[in-house]
Amino acid sequence: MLRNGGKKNDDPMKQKKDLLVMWLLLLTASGFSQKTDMVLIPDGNFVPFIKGQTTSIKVQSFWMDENPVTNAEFIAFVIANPQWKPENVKSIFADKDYLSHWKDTIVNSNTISGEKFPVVNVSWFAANDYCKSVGKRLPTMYEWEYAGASLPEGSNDNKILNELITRWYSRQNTGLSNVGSIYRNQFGVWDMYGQIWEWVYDFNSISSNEDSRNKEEIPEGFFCGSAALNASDASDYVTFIRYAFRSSLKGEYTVRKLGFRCAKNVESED
Amino acid sequence: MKKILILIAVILVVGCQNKKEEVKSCCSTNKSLIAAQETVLLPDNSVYNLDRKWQNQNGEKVSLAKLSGSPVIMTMIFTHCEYACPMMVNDLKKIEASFSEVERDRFRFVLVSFDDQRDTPKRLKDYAEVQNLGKNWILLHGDAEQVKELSVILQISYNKLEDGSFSHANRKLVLDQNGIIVFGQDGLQANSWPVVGAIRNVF
Amino acid sequence: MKTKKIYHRKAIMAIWFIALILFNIRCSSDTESEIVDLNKSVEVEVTAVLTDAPLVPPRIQAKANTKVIVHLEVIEKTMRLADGVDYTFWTFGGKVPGKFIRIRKGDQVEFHLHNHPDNMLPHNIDLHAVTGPGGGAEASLIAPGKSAQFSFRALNEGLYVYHCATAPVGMHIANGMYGLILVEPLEGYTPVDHEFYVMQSEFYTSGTFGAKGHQDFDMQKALDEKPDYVVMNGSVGASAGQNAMTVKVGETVRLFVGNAGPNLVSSFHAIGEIFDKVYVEGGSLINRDVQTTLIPAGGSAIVEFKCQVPGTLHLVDHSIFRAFNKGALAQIKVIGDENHTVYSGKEKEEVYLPEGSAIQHISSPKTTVSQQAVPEKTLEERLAAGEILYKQNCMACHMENGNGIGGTFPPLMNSDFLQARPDKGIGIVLHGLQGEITVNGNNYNNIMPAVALSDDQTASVLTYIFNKFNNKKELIKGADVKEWREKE
Repeated sequence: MLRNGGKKNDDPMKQKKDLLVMWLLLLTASGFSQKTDMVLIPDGNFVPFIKGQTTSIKVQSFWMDENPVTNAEFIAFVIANPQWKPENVKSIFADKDYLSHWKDTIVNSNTISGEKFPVVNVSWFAANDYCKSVGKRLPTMYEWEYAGASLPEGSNDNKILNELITRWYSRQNTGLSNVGSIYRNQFGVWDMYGQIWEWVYDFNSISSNEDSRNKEEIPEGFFCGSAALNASDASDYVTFIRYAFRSSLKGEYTVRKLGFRCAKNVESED
Repeated sequence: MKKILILIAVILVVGCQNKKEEVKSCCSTNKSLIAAQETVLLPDNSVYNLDRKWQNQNGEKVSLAKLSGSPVIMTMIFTHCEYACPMMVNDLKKIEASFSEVERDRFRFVLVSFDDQRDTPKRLKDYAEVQNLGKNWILLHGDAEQVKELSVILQISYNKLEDGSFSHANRKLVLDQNGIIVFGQDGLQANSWPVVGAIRNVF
Repeated sequence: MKTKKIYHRKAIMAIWFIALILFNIRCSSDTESEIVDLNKSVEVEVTAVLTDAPLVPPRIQAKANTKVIVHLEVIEKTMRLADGVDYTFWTFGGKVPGKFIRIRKGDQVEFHLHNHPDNMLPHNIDLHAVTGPGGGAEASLIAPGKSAQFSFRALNEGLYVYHCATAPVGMHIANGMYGLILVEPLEGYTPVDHEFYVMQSEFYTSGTFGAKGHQDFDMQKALDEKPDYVVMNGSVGASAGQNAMTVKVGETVRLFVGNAGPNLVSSFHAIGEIFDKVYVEGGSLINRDVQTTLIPAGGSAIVEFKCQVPGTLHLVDHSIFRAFNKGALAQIKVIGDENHTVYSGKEKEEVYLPEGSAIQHISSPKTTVSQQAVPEKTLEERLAAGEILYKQNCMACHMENGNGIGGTFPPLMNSDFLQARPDKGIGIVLHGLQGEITVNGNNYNNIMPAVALSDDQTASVLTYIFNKFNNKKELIKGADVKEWREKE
């Protein structure tokens, strides 16, 4: 576990925070944080995007959350783990925008809009700790990409998924909506695309490549000019965007459209 | 530039003059480091907030917070690495050589292994001996989870390959007495003077 | 003064020589141009003034060694690409092209790139003016809601393109992430009356040119290098018509012209002007008396000319279908008195159209068409005849669909201008039309020659236009045409 802050509660924002805590308690009491369903993703083969691994690799079967983690679920986590309250969190584990959307949507209004929206503005450390707190883990990048490649239910044309993603990328950022409202894929997982980006456990593995351990330095420019040299399919621009996004992140970063979902090994299921 | 050269020259001379005292000063510094208090209040942006127990090359359980008190040059390697890691260690040795014997006792080199499976404390100790690493070098072994956490904080990308080896970034960082990252340098065979300068800045 | 300068140069050379030895620098600049003294410390700090096209920031005036601070914000934003056509642009500073940055050779630039928190994507910047890895791209990759800072020294003068270099690079450029940075020589360029910023680029949209509604990026068209839009300053008509740049007769103009691509090379040309001076590819080589200058994708040119006569200059990519069918057209209106020693203005001329169309006369008050009796016909007969006449005489400019060509030839489709005329357009066909008019909210300033059609033919073609192009349903009679002709 991460070192608990244990800060004194004497700051001027205290009143506001007490209000937040009250709301949070109310939320848990009223059963907003229901148990999250998981979906068994069958094992299968998958061709990673990075060159050097152009042959497909096998992804073992694993459990994945049906939906991204919601505000309501994350509120319950924060109550149980006060070191993850915005006022306690250490800057090395989450930047200043951590959960900043709660101020507007939850504390300052009497109606709790967005409790079923995916939680955003969370750092990798927070997401990682959340998953551990519920006996799960963050999915690996390969797991996420493999699950995300599944086509929407009822379709058998790759183009449909590509169009869905393109449309999302190429429209101006719109507000969030409840989880489970965009599309369900053939594994039964909701909204892999169309709402938010999602953290993966090994998001910082992507600027590595096979050559680096032998001769050359790791090209920092993997997602700049030299990108096309290293990708397995240079025209797969929707994937490029996702990998570029991950490479722009640091562990403490929080972003308005970045959330997460958890995964779990099959053998750890009892 | 000239000034810097002169400065380095002076330091080297001073360093030689102080050679006799080396053993003494080294041990006293070590002592104070080991005695660093558990309950030290770390700044919010300290790497040492990662509150996990590691094992050093002597098999002792240590937390990162124990490193506080003197500057640290930190990097991540694995001992089965054939090319990049020996070069990285070599780069670090070059940096070490830029300091006088006395100065060398005022900071630490910390090598954290990517390889949670094969790099046992014993293996790390053997590696330190083969590489002829001095007393101020600390090699750490941790489980996969804590290695990942630290790599995220240090911004050292890596990827475990099927053969059990790792592809990884070659990045070294300078941490001040409180574990705050004050400098990072990417690449192998890079100029050592920026790192030396960064260490001197936080002495 | 002269000796002082030489002494100064010698000092610079000496310092440079020492620097070479000390730093073991392998890539040096050419020795002919004045070398930037890297050892001089910064004495003055200024924040750069940035402008949107077609405006250009003022020159930095500070005399001492200057640090220029640049703040540029990346904003993803839905805006107009053409009338009725929207596109979600990724911008440097909220507009396409991005903000114009103006610095001087030798300036130390502290660059701050901000990625707006509402953005979806990571971005960075590659400034071609930067000597260093990725032109700054490696140092500036940032997630939404983050800022990056890096510094560089402007070692080479010239006009440089900057652009986003985040993967997929082509898509980031295709969505509008580019602009120009000018590294001015220390002594500046020769003074002119006007400086403007023009940047050409392409858009690859899911629909074809003019298809209404929000358009998405089309990767396949980009790969095929077949853009639907080729535009000047970010959208169709961005710097034309009411948005045209304006100068006076006798004034000198300098255009900073960039070509963002992402794919096409521009044959940059000003219809009605000759470039007195061209800084070839935006560098230091000067060519004179140029009609069309080639601007590579990711390249630039600086062109200078003096406006001698009034009228409208059309800045086009002379790969001409791009100009007239895809939007690659900007305009400079030159206002002032005629200068007939340079250009005579309009003189009577006839256009010979061999493919069965009528002889067209420019602005002739009386036509010579025979005044035989005009037969009256049914609507069907008029439409059938009118269609053929339209295709022979009108379609070349007003287009088959009656939409005209933006900024140049007015539409006949739903034309408020046409419907408001008591003569139902008869006078226009008989006598032609010139000067500025407003059609459906857009200004046009062009010349339509009189079309030498008989009264019967005029009635047919106008009936066709009224019925085919959603104007009022009218059956125009030959007698009406006769009546208007006799009024003259």
